Amino acid sequence: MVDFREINESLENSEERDAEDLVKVELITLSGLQEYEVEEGMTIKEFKEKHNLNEVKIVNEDGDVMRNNDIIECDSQFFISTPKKNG
Amino acid sequence: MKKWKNRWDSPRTETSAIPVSLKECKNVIYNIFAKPKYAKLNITKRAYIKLMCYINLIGDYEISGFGRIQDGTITDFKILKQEVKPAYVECDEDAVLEFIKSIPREELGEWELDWHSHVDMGTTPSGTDWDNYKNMSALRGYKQFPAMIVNKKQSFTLINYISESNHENIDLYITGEDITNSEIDEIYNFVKNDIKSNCTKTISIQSKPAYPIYNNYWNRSNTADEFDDCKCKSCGVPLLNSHELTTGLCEDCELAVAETIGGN
Ligand SMILES: [Zn+2]
Repeated sequence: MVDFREINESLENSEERDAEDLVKVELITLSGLQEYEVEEGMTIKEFKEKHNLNEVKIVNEDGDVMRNNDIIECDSQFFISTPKKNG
Repeated sequence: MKKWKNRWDSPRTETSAIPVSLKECKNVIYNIFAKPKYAKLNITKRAYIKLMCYINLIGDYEISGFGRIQDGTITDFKILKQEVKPAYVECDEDAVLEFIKSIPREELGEWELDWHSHVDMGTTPSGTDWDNYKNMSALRGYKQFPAMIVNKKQSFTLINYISESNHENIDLYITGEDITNSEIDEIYNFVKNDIKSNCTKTISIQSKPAYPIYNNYWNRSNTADEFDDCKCKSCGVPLLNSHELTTGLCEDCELAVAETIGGN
């Protein structure tokens, strides 16, 4: 039988990189703050792809929309947004 | 090719060789095994009256927003800046961002209810609604959320949206506290002003103009910045250089268009 507690622990603890290569990204989402640790030098495009955020717009604290080629160089805080369309 | 003993047995040193890491699987696993968060929800009379005021005072147009849930009870509704139509409503990403910024950070998690109206039509989610739920799920870090559709006949659909293939109905009960007529008047007047300041109705004049040259003028909507030449005509970000200004697209959108054409 599958031990879900063990799976969950491995999900929580799996580290792929040394800590010094990682920077912290705080995303202010519609559900509140979400924290990510990403590789320093990752582009916004890579970040979006990795976290399945292709459809959302990432905006920095100054209100500038982050472009695909922008690089995450240090600990950063962003907002994310997408239109709400209903029919 | 190496075979794992079982699908959870990937050695940690080699995770980079696997297209999706364990951490990234978490959302997917969460959504497969997630139990619906709410089997039932309560709604206060104040909140219910406010919702009915929004969907009736907007007239024959849809209206959309978010609702606050505290300890299993819907206690409030808010609308965003939006363009309303008889069978469609849109809050652009600036409006959604403005909403996120307007709510105290620690309160954001409580504004989890996604709602809109269907005027006099049935309350089954449309294709646009399902697409919207998917996007709203991404905007919530893939956490499940309740989604509600109401109409003027006071019919409603209320579901836990977990993922595209996983959503369950929620029962709704109204709470029994007293409410005075003056409180109802207050809610009514608040909603009336809120609609006036946040909802834009698209003006479309049906009769044909005398001269074709006026077509753009007659068909234009009264939303702002649609004709702003300095913004990307696809996604709306400010254009940065002469190349972007010439194409009218930011580089990201230009690339996306090229990829679409190349992929066909
Ligand atoms: Zn709808």
